[in-house]
Amino acid sequence: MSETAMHDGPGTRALSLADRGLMAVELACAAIAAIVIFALMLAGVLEILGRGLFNAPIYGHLDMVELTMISFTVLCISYCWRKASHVRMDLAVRRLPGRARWTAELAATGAAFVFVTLILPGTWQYFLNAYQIGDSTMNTGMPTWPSKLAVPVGLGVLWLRLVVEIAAWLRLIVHPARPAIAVPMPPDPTREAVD
Amino acid sequence: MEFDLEPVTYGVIGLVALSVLILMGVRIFVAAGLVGLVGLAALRNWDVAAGISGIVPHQQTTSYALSVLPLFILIGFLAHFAGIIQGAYRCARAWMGWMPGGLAIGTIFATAGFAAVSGASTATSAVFARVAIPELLRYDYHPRLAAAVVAAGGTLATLIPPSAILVVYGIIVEQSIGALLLAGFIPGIISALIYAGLLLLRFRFNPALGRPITDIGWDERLRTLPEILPILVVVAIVMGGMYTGWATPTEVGALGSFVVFVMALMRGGLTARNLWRALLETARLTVMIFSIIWGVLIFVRFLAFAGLPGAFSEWIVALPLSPLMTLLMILAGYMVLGMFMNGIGMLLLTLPVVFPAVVALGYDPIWFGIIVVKMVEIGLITPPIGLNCFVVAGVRPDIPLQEIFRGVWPFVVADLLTVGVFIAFPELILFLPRLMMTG
Amino acid sequence: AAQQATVEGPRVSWDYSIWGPPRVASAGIEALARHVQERTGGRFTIRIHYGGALSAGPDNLDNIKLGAFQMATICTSYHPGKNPGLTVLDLPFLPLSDRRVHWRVHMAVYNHPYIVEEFRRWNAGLVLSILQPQSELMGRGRPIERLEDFRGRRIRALGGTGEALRRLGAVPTTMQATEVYNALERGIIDAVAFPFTYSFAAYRINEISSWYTTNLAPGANNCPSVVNLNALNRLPPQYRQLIEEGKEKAFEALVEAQTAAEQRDLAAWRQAGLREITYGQDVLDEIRRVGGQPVWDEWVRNMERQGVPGRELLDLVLNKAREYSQQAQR
Ligand code: NA
Ligand code: NA
Repeated sequence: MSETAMHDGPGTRALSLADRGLMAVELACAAIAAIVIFALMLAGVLEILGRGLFNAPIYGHLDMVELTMISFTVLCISYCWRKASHVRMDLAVRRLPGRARWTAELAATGAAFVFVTLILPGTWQYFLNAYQIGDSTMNTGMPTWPSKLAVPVGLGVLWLRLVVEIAAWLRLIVHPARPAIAVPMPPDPTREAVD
Repeated sequence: MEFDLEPVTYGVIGLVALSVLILMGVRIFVAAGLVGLVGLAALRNWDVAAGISGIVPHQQTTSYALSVLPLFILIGFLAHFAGIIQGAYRCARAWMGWMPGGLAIGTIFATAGFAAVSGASTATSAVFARVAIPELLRYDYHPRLAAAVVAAGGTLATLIPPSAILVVYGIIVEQSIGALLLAGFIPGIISALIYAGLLLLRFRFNPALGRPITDIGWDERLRTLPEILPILVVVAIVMGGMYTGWATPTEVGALGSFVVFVMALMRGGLTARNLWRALLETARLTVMIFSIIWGVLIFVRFLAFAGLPGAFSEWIVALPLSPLMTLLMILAGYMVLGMFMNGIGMLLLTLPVVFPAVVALGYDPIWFGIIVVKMVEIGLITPPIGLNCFVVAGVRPDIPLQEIFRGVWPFVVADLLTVGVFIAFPELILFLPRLMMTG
Repeated sequence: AAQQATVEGPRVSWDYSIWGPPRVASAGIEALARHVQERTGGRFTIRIHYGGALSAGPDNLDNIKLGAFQMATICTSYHPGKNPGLTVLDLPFLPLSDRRVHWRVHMAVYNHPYIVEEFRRWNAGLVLSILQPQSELMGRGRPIERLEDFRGRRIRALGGTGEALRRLGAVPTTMQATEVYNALERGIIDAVAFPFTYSFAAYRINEISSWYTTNLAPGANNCPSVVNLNALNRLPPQYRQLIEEGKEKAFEALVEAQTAAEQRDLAAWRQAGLREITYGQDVLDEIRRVGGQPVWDEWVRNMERQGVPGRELLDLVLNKAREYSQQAQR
């Protein structure tokens, strides 16, 4: 793909660059989620041990879990998007030929762009309430704003991803014969069976 | 400034818009969230709609009870590296493979077994989509059938304790959760048996659906028997954790995945790189499931602000019909709602109105809980929003969603049959809890 | 009785957000909603949405600020950071066991200028208290009869109540109310602190317990009804007057519902043979010295550090409680 990119114009090279730059950010978000999931496993075991062996449950365990969950419920949403893992009914779209298919894909991505654009201010306001007026967890009084900030951050990354993707579909509509870049690619099913 | 529309009209318009977007290939979470947000804007204004919707992704996903989901997904990934579920499949294949549809039936019983350690249907489907579908495809089972078996088998986790949904039901209607969990056990087993019977029947008439395994001798059966030992160890640890006193579902998920993690380390299959990939894949699958949860819940919020669920329930309860006919109407309502809603949202919206009416009609609250949860199970596999089918499609992008929905409808029929059995013989549900109350 | 004249006015329809099913705690707002509806001949309605259908409980304030709905129930202890000053009413061992004293103290605190300002930031006004009863303990195994009995016992308790129990030597654990039944049954916890008596019955804790306390009061949830200020200010004066009148109706309905529930529950528990623990004054004094005063002092220090007049608010609660108790006794 990088070879064909060499022969393409500056627009395509910029698209490819933006795609790879975003992928690095998306991987970082997914890495945070992965670490939190591993920590959730260890903390759960420690909680059982602490309570069972030493009669010392980790006070606020529940608060910590609820605050960090956001990493794997929203923050890494764009990683999932790039891996084409968000569920859809794409029977009709797949049957369309060439340019018509890219147009349909553009519409589907456009719907997501509209949705994320509309909801982003709401998630930001929700964070601002917690940050400016105040909000804390029930038991340990930990501030909730970092957790609430993860929502506009995760959706913000997705918003950028959708901008890049809209450009990618437009490029394909203009040049249907060029190889697709910067669009979601599902993982290879043959590899999927092993992972 | 507002359209003068009845709540039902809003609901119908919303559902039509949702269906159109989904058919256009829009991601489910986007379609549900977008229609919900636009609907809220029609009811209020854009700022308020964005505000209400903007709260949902954080609020509705960061609840401790849901933190069990990634852990049960992680168990599946780690179990692969520990060779656990594959071993169990060799055993299921050796013992049941000779039957028509034997490996599919084995899958059903395996999901029932896993249901005893999993409180979430979607997590069970996710695990088995990863583990069982490759095995089924290897024996030439039709992909549509293989995916449907896993999607339907996953629903068993909702009925067989532990079950998050049964706890939610118990809290909403203030019934004994212990009694509810006990009550779910026998119906869960019956559901699994009816699924198995259905598969036997289908393979009797159409053996081409999958290849029976004919060349297995008793030596192989006995040799593979120890392969289910690790899974029994995990079940024993997890069940022990749940029932003898030391863990919440999340902690059980943590302990279960930790034990499997150690097993995988001991077996040598788990390198640092494999662990990292398993964790990233878990994150990917988890955020997919949670996106659907919060996207759909934005849509559910819109329906609630439109007053649809209340209007619907009130209408159905006021019908001049016999108790049984009213019950059937209510169940039909749940069937329709279940097509579009997730279980928890559906229960939260309807039970405050429906439950008092059902009790007034003379039905047992525990019994009704099991029936409603059975309807939630059906909703998990009916289009257009059937979470279990989504999960399977998410794990297996090579099997299209519409194929899975096409394969799953016989299981919906089987579930409706099961509900009929429970209506005819309520003692099947009430036997165990009564034993607890009197014993 | 003479038929009261219907209050004239424009058509106003409000939405009210509350979690959970209709229950004792919702009896007050149901009475308020009935009152305004009857007195206006249905022109002013407050439609109660149960089950968290419009919003989860902890986010009712965010939605009120937004104007998503006009009224809601909140519990200040669910999000102390949103309303630090008003958590004074969540402190353990406050002398609020008499329902009328409880009500009047809550309403006095709700009208304190600092608290009014605290909720103005959420574009919210405090309407009335849902009068959540004081917590008590219920559990199985060895009953907790003296201060020494708290040592090492695992008790499910949230927020300030948990802090008080920790100082008494217990091990407070946090878990969702939905998990309490199973946790107690399986021995994960020894006891649970819930509002007396309704929540124990609602979660069926009595089915698996052998004892309960009646006068420990290690804390109470303060759960007020709030209103969006824009909506309230747009209301014609005659409708606002109806809400004022409705507060008293709400109080009466709450007392009636609570009394009925308490009588029903206590009769059932006594019949089931649960052991009732009523602490003597000397034991109570010792418990409050160890578990109450230090929590109050720390709360005041914390609040003053954040610029909240903690001392003033706590004094207000204690002085008003004394004043109203004396009035009640006369
Ligand atoms: Na289960
Ligand atoms: Na469905």
